[in-house]
This record gives sequence, structure tokens and C-alpha cells, in this order.
Amino acid sequence: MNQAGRARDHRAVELLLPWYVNETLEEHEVQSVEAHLQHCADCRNALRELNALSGAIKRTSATPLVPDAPVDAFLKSLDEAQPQRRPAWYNNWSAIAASLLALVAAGVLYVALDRPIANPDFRTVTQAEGVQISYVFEVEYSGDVEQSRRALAETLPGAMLMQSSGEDRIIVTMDSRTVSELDAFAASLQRIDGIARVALVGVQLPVD
Amino acid sequence: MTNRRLDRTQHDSDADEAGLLREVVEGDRDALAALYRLYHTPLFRFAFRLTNSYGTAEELVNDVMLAVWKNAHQFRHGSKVSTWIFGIAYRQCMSCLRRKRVTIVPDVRIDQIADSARDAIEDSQWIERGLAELPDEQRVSMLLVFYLGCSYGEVAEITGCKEATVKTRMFHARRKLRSNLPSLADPVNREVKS
Repeated sequence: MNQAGRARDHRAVELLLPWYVNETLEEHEVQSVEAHLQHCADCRNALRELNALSGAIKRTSATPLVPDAPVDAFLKSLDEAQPQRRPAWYNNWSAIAASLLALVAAGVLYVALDRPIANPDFRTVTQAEGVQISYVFEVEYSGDVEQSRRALAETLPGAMLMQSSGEDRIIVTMDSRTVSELDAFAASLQRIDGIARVALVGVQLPVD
Repeated sequence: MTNRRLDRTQHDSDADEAGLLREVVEGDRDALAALYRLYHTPLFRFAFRLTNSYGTAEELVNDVMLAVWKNAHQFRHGSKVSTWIFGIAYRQCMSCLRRKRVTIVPDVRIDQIADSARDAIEDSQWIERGLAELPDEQRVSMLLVFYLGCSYGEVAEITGCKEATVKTRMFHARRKLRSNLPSLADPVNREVKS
């Protein structure tokens, strides 16, 4: 293996070490890590540090100070929160369209989501064509934040970027998109260097 | 979640939990109570390590289980129940951390606890200093990997990130901890130096 190959191998193994410690690597990854550890003192040191961290975090997290599970009190609190089954109108697009028209006529609808919705069927408000919608995405960075913001601005010249000390929010106005199109759009933004995650957090319908 | 080498038992447990979730979708409170009992301790510890507050951790556990009750129909049966539930917990905790930085310290004196717990408290005092300096995402990653035993794929699923991002996050977390806790590289002398 040449020097560049050894560097790549070292980097790949170094990144896997936490999962070597917690024993969740696949067998071929374990073999690759163990072969590398035999001749890499840096990775052996890193492994020692990770073992120390793992032990301390496990012992600390297992400190026996957890209160008893208050199941009964929790169950009592459920009376106002029945599980949500699929609503009757779920498969009725004409009802959805009528609801949307009413909402658009009434003004602006803003749907703020606390978290990504697991079921993508619920993520889109409309699939109607020709309707301009502002989609609000949360952007999380993993690299140089300023550089990534510039790259985002170049990729989406008409978008509005709201900066914050945590995640930024970017508002993109475009034709209505389906769920898979929105997923593909977010995924394309995630491919920009330094961007770790892009998630849809809100939808804004403009006044007609 | 946890060690793949436990597979058989783990697989059975996943199937049991998925069965409980199906019953929750039908409105079965006993099934929810069973899940609550199963997950209360790991969820509480996870939330407590992130918020450092008993009250907030307890609220978060209830919020997570309430979300399970309301959204059980959204669970995709190709995933593991534990990954789905901790995904909810992750989002609730991160949302809570964004709203406020909780700094309540548990009212426990080291001479009041059992010998078996004393080492844990001493470790806590050492490790807390380092973890507190990490960005939230890196701290959560450390917990997911070393407390909950998640694979990098599971961490990616829980946090909604790419696997490469998860690996890089852990790499930077270790680098930063080494910088904040020089004794990490020399654990024998940890107590003297810290």
C-alpha cells in the first residue's frame, strides 16, 4: 500500500474506532480495524482514550438514581391524548383540495413542525400544480459555516437565509412539490460541503 | 440497539416490542404501559445526561411516551422500535436544549451514597467537565454510542444525519475531549490531575 493508501486506511479506521469499542461493527470492519491497530500507535492510543471514555460514560449513566417509573400517573394523563389513527379524509384528495382552498382564501397557513415527521405521506400539504409555496428548511452544518452559507446562497439565489447560533433556517419559494421531490431537494442541499442535515420544518402558503 | 453479537435475544426482543406497538395503535393502554416500563430507565438516563435536571428528564420521558402513544401508527416496521423511540427522544431533547440550557445539579452528596455508586460519581465529576464543553450534537453522539451502544447506522437514523457525519462528529468529539481533559490520554493519573 502506498502512502496515500495508508493515510486513507488510517482515516477510515480512526473513524470506526468508537464502534469497535461498543462492538457494533460488522465482522469485515472488525478485521480491518484489528489489522490496522497492529501497526498504528496513534490508533492504539485513540482506542485507549475511547475505552476510558466509554467506561466513564457507562458508569456515570448507570448511576442508580432513577425514580420509579410513574406508569399510573402517566396513563392517567393520556385521557386527553388518544392515539391518532389515519384520519378519514386521508385518502380523499378532493376533501384535501377543498380544505386547502379554504385555507388559502383565508390567508396564510403556516405549518410549523417540531420535528421531522416519520411518515412522509403526512409531510406534504398539497400536490396541486402551479401553486407557489414557501418551504422552510432547517440547516445544520458540520464544516465551515460561513463557507457553507455562501454555497447555499449561490445554489439558491432567491432563497431567504435566517441565521442563528444553532441551526439556520432557509425559506425557499417554489412550485408545490411532492414528498419525494422535497426529500430529493433536501438531499441535494445535503450534498453541499459542510452541510450535515437539511430537514423540512414548515410550509407556508401565500395569499392568493 | 446494542451489541450485534447478542443477535438472537435482541431479535426476539425487537419483535416483542414491535408487537406492543401494534397493540398501542389499537389503543391498548396495557401495551403502552409495558413499553413505558421497558423504556423509562434508559430514556430517563439519556434525558438526564443531556439536561442535567431530574424534573426535565421526567417531563421528557413522558413527552416521548406520549408521542409514542399518539404516533405509533407512523412506526415503520422495517426499523427497530428502540431506534424509533430514541429518535423521538433525540428530537425532544434537542428541542428542549435549544429552548433553555438547564443547569440544575442533582442534590446528592458523595458521602450519602453507597460505595458502589461512589466511583460513578467520581467518574461523573471528571467526565461531566469534558462533556459539558462539547456541542450538543457531539454530546448526544457520545451518549448514543457509549451509553446506548448504537451502531453508526442507528445513530444516523436517530439523529437524521448521514453516516459520514456521525463518524466525523465522534472523531471531533474525542479530539475536543482530549483537549479539554488532558488526563484522558493518561487515565492512570486522572485523579491526581483532575
